[in-house]
Amino acid sequence: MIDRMSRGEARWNAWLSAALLLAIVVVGNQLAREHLIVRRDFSEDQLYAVSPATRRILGRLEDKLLVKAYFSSDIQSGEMAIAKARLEAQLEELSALAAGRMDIVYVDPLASTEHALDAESFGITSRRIESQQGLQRIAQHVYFGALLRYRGREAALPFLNPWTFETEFGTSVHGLVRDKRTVVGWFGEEPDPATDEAAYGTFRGARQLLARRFDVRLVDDLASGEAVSEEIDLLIVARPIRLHARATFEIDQFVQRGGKLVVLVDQARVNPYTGAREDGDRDVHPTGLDVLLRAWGAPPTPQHVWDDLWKTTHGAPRLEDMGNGQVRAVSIRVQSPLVITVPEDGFDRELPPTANLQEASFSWAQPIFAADLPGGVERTPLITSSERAYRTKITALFDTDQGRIDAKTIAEYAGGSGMRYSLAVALRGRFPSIFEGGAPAPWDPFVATPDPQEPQTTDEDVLSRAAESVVVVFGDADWIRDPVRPLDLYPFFTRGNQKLFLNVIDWLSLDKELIDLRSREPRMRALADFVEEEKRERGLFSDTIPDSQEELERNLKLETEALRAARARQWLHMLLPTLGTLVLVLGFGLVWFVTQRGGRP
Amino acid sequence: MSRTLAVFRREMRAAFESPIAYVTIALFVLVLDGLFFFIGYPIGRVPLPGLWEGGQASLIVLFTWLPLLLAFLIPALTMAAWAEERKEGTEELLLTYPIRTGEVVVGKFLAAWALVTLLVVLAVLPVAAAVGGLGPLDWSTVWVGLTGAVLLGAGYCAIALLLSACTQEQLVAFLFGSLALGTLWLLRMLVTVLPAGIARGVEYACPSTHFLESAALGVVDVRDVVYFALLVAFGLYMNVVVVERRRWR
Repeated sequence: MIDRMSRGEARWNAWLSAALLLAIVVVGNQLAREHLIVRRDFSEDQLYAVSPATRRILGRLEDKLLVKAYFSSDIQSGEMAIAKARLEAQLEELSALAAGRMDIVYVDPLASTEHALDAESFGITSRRIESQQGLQRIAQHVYFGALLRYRGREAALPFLNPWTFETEFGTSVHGLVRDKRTVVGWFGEEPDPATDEAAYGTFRGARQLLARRFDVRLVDDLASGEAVSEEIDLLIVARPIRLHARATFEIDQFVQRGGKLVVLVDQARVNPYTGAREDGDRDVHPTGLDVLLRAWGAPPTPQHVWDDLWKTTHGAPRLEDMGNGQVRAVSIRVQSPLVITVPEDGFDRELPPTANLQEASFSWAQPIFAADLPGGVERTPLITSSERAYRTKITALFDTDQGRIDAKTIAEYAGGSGMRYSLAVALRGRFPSIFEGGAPAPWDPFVATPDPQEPQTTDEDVLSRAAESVVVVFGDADWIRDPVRPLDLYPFFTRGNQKLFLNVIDWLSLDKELIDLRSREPRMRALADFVEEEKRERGLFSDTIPDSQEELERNLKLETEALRAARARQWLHMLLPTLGTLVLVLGFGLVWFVTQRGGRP
Repeated sequence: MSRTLAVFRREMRAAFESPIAYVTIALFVLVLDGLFFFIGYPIGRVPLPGLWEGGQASLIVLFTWLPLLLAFLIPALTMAAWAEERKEGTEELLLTYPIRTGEVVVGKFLAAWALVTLLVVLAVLPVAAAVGGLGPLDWSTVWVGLTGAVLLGAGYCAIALLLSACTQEQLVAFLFGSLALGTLWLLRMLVTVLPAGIARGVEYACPSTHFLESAALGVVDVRDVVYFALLVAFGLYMNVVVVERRRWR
């Protein structure tokens, strides 16, 4: 061919073909990027593919789901441009899975005031994003929100993040597909705070989290003995203190009607900013539900769990003298057995709310005891402490002296090796009413709270064992409490706690799919702990307290030996693959040299 | 095909007879294992700890280092492929044989790719076995990651061979190859500070993106397979053009 062509022509042809091939490479990649969306996640954790729960939710779409993506089109930051590309790719993938039942419309609110107002009417606003571009730091307001419309219902996602997009999207679509939103009643001791500073003891964050998906209604009237509305499917009672017998009765009757109940017990009142008790010397406050919970088989104990194994290092407030007569609160680090971080071992693996949880934190939790269960009620401990936990009196909650805390642990240990305590339990079945003898008299502001066991009865009908229900009792309310800022104290409403909270609510409102969606987390793949293994082999246990100086010295020697042996095993595991490969390669080279070249140089 | 295989065998024999392959493989394994066990991956916004520090049975650190280390290793293995032939004058001899340039190029590419595949397998599998003995390793991710690394190696080989064909000195070929592949790796790191208009394009153009964001995590994405196939096709074709160009002079 070249013989017949001039060299110039051949060269021209070659370069033309190269240019064409380059164009094919660019266009081919562009087409593949947009249209060839075939991904399969082979990993065990399945974190990088659309989850089966999302697929099921999309499969339930019967009409068109319109996704109006309010995305800024002119994005200056390279990082945000990539995030936008990822979000668009995810939307396209979900649209493909919805099999024609999902339309996506992209709108740039910055392009027209009408679109911007439209977005803002759904709570979708721009956010200021700062990023580095070359040597310059640039700031830009960008929109990354979406509005979902389905059968006249709407759900807004104010700002999307590619890493949490699927969970947020799936949850919203799930809510839209359901004909009725679950109505959650909230009864808490504290009213809504007027200012952020006053919000330390409230559950505003938890309520806001719920309000994204549920119809949350405050049932303050319950305090004065009003009945819980028939519309409410699930009632959360947070930190009940001295409830009137009539309120207890209404809660009982709510459960008898089949309503689901979550009780968060916390009988001590403390200001977490200062560590000061807000209730003087009083040890505990009665909840008003104690009798009811005891009758159902899950009474809280007026004590705290002191967990030496799962203790947590957290911020605690300490008042410091500033030298000018003023004091200020500073945060110091304390390792406290009263603040417990529960790992996988502490969760029930059968029931959905805790089946896939990895971690949750509880502060000053009270143990829930296993009282005699009434017939027809099943009790499951959802969360337990470690086996090295003790019960302690509700006192000195904010001791910041580490030495004193450790000394108390040793003193507790001297009394016994500890045991597991339930921090949360689930009760299922038909519950007996403690008011079978008669309902208590209505609330009267001029009459002291009557004892629910000696009620002034009325002739109202009282339901007992009328319907199946579920009651979940937590021995702590702080775990859903708003974070204490600005000192960053205590692990209150952590990410793990939020997941636990939503899991419990979803379980009670029969939304197992959403629990599945949230439980997508990388599995912990802990390496063998050589140090612990070697110590155990030498009879050294972390809870062994030496009796004598000789034993202490012997233990220290054994510990050094164990550490040395563990280090040797680590080196062995590193050297084996490395040296093994090198020996293999050199061995191959030697064999090659001998067989192919007969050993000639 | 048989002529391509003949070139393949010739290249493989040359590789195993030269100490360069053994030294390179040994260095690669030592460096990669050292980084994996002790250092981790301290680059970027989310640094990854070494195996013992992280305490997790995962090869993600190993896979994350591969694009950078292969960017230096592959040019070292391929630098002689064309540059040495030109220097020794054997290229002219080779091209006078009754064999098409394309067959020579494909033969050389297959030999380089096979060598890189062998090396990657030798570097990854023993470590995976060791980690698997220490904890519950996700083997599916290991196999997918290994396949992705082999595809990445193919893309790198095509580029490195092309650059070797453009030069006459081995050292220059190595420097050009490392610089080109290293720049592609670095561009992906710098993509967050690039203007939005080019950031997406640059990120997509970097070979490491198509490995680290899918195969290294255990995900098979057909778009990555298409990307590497087109990259290899382009690299090999350009290689043919560059060699042919010399023939026409």
